Amino acid sequence: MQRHILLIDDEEDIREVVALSLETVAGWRVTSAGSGREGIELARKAMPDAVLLDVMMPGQDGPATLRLLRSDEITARIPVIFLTAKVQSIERERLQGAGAAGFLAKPFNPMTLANEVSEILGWQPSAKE
Amino acid sequence: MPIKRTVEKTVLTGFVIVLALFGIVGVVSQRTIVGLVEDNQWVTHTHMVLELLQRVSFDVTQAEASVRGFVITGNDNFETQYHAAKDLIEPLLSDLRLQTSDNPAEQKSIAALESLIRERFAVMDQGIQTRKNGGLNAVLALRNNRGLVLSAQISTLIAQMRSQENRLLAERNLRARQSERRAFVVVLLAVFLAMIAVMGSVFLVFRDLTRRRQIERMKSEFVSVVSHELRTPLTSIHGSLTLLASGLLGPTTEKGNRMLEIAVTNTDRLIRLLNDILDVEKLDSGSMEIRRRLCNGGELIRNAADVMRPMAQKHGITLDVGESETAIWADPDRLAQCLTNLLSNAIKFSDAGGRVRVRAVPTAAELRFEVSDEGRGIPWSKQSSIFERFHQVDASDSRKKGGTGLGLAISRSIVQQHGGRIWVESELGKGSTFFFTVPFRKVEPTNGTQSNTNQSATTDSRRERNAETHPADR
Repeated sequence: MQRHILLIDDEEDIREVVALSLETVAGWRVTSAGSGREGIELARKAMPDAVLLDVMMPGQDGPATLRLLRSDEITARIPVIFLTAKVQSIERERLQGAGAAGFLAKPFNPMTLANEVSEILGWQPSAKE
Repeated sequence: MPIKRTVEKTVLTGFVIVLALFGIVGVVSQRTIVGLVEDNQWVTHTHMVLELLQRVSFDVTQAEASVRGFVITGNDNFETQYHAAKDLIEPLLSDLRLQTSDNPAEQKSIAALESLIRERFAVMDQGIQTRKNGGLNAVLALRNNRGLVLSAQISTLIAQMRSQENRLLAERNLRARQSERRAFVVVLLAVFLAMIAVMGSVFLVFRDLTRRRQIERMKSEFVSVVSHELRTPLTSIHGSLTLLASGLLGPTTEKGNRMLEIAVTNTDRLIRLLNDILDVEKLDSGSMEIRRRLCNGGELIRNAADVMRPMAQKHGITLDVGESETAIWADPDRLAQCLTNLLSNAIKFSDAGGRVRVRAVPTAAELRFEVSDEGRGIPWSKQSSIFERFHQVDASDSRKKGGTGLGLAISRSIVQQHGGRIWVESELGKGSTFFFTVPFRKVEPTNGTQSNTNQSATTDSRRERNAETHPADR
């Protein structure tokens, strides 16, 4: 089943690598946004299966974006996974309270990224046919 | 750490200053108090001399009155009284001599007084004898006024001596009061100085400690920021290289593949180093938490072996996992980190075809984990230093084997935080066995909700940790 992922990250290079990884390895469809604001608009329009959300972004950061997604009826039920370069447990605790489905640490392994997303969300592991 | 030395130096300097001040205070106080005591002794001494002079004067007057009584009445009682007074005068005079032995002028006066008194008593003895032999008329016929003159001379001399002593008393009283005042000021000043010194040292220590804490916070922030800033580009590099090396984006030449492999391996190494540095920082700052829960020792070694199996296969090593079902109260993620560190070392330092064993052996008070290999072994001299940061058996190991030189230091900290020990037994050319222990502890009761939350938290963090620690194995 082709999944549709919305990726919100301010780093263009990371957006490209994640998109290429999920598209090539798992055959998923990826929509990318460079900021929280843009991400929320795209989420409302495209209704993705899940959102991969960077924590540290200038302006509206990951947790703030998550709160806005949750407060909107249309996007409230879309599962969100944080992508974070900060691995300290204190940071994890802070994010856990924000209501994300899970975390993925940067740097991630592009070969297993889709499987990790599936595992967190309880999806059947998908592989490109 | 230079800051630590500064704090120690400040404490030491403060301590020495305070000690020196107290020493000076002690010496000055002792001398002042000794002076005060001496001055008071002199005052007492003068009072004593004055009293002795008074008694001498009284005794002479008493003797004179008795002689007069005898001459007039002829009553023997008066003679007895006279002899009693005469017997008393000698001890009084010798006491006086003794008390004034330090003062030559007084000694001279006392010698004069003594001779006057002796002469006075001789005159009185003569009077008594004349009264006995010739009656009252014989005494009256003597017409001798030597006695009167002597009596007047004695009174004058004693009055002179008393006034001299009174002058000394006034002087000595004044000196004693001055000493008292000085002692009070000296002690007050000393206490004040010592208080300033103590307060100064405390202030300096606090300032140094504050500065130290500030530097530690800055270091912690710096490590955190640098690690984040390095992670972002590393994520792109690592991701692109891995995708390229996977061949999913199209075929590359054999040499190209080899170059990609080198790039991927070294990016992995950089990521491991970054993770280890972050761990070391967490251990240093004390922010590495140990989240204990009940876990199964056998499950821990099986999971660790599963994680390391791809690496073992790549190196042609057989992993031999022991059976165990012993429960311990520990942080499974952190113990997994120790086990994978030790397994990774064992695999790296084994020759292809070798065997690496991992076991969990329960003893009376603890669960002992063992990871053994059949590798080259560790020389005796290096067996304790390898647990220090960046200490490897061979300096070229970090390059050849892709280690960070931090794994064993981190493992040791984790084991110590669990209250256990870590050590190695090794024979050159035959292999090494690394041991670490986790003591059994009473299980702390938690309610269901809490343990559920903990469970999901640890599952999440383990997922994350595996992703960050062994990206190449995923």
